[in-house]
Amino acid sequence: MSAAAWGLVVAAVVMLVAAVAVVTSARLVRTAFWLVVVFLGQAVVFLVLGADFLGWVQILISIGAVVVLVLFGLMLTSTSGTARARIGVPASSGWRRLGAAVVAAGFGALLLVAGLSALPEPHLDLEAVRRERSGGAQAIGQALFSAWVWPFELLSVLLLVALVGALVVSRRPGEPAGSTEQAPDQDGEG
Amino acid sequence: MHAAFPLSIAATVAAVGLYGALTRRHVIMLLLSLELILAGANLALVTMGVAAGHPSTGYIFALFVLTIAAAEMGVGLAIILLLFAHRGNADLTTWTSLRGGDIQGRTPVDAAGGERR
Repeated sequence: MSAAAWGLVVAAVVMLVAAVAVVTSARLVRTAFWLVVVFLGQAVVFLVLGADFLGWVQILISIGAVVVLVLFGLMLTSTSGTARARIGVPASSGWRRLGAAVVAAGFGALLLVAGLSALPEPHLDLEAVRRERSGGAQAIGQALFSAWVWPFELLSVLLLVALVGALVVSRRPGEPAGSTEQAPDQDGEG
Repeated sequence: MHAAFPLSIAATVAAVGLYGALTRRHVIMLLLSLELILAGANLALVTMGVAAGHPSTGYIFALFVLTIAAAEMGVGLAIILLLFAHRGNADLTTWTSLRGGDIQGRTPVDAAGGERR
């Protein structure tokens, strides 16, 4: 195997291990940092697969924006010291965990079978795809503004709607615009 | 390299994300698990694009999914923070208003009058 293939294998395994850590870690903040590892591994896999632009955009958006957003969300929803004990499933629900594992395994197997059967020739030519340079900023930009220009414009509208929607949702009713900060525990449970 | 390896990693990451979404009790962990599912989907898209001989199509689809994931995260967190402000906790198992019957606590749509108590 070439160096690129080894890089892909290592990054993909790191990504998988970090993904397992995200769903099993008992500390909230650590899951966010394990998610950083998942995204870094994914970015390395993207780079090996020739997606230069996508790999760096992945680091910028997923780590720079999504994980930071998650960390803010964690800070805003931390109740007290008991929050740590509350994030797993209750100890009594081993059946639920088992059921979730069975469903997830079936889901993964289905995805794998569907993906493999969709490919006529399931072979990755890593050297050729790097030689083609179809993942650089220039090639991506040309494709984005020629064949994919309508989905691209639609996506910009979607981002605008999401921005406005998030603002509207996070504003308390009856409050003037601009003061979106909220006291987390003003009305308790029950 | 055979395409089965990255595809199986992608499927496993998505399956792990689904497991997390089904078992975690904290709402933000639910969002993180959804991010994992989208990460697996993205990896599968890029792999399939390269294996099918149209790499740029896979790249662009992955770019679109990445953008939609970021938008989903923003809106999802806004909704979650609002629900958290109403509920006072972030435990999904206590958010059972839609189950009917055993409603604990105030629901965010009380003001709209559309919620059965």
